[in-house]
Amino acid sequence: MSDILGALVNLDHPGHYISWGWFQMSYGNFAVVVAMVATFLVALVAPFPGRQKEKRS
Amino acid sequence: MSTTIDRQWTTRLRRRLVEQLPPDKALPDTQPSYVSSWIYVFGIVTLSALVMVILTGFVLAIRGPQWWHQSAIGHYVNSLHLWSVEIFFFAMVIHLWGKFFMAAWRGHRSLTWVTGAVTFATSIATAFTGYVSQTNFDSQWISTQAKDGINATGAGAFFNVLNTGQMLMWHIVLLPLAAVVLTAVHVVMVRRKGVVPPFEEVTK
Repeated sequence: MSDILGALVNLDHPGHYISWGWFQMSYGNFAVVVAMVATFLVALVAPFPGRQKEKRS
Repeated sequence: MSTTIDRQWTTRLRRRLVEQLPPDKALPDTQPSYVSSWIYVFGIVTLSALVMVILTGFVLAIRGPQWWHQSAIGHYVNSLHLWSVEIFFFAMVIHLWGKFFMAAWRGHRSLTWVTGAVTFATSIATAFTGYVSQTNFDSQWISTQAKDGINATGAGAFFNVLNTGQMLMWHIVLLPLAAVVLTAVHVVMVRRKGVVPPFEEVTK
């Protein structure tokens, strides 16, 4: 199983990094930050199951 | 007229506790309608991940480092521990963003906010000591990279990241205890003051 997963994601190489002046971040960490921002935005707008629409007068 | 029973410390403490956190607030039947939003879910996701972190941590503590390096089940439990931590921080950061933009310290909730912030900082320290306690090349790399920075703060006098035994003790005893106690206080504060309402609910 670990061999199959290892074949899908080859980690046997030096890490890839985003560099912007003094700022440096690995692609892995960058992907997690993007996923957090996306989840946050979706949580703000996605309809919550069972929620009734508010009546506005 | 106060009786002897009224004056005894157990009676006074019980009354004080019930006064501070009545049972219907501690375990409420309902929540306000504005809580029906995904943004209010991340607190409980964080808490659920913490429970998983603690349970898998118990198993790892019982079996020890040899087990999580050499046994297939040990690898599996070690991975559960790691990914629970990943979900814990993922959810906690979104919870933090949500509460920041709600200004969740409103309505005399400053202590709720502060206990949450301190829990976040404690969790980072707990995760850090976990990474340096893995007993592999990764933990060696992290500890040797971290030592100069930590020594520069002066904390190296009592917190030596190259001391695996000390880091493991901080990771499995002191810091988790602090994180769990702080989380419990945070949850009690949320129960006492209630979930912060949206801005429009306050101005209605």
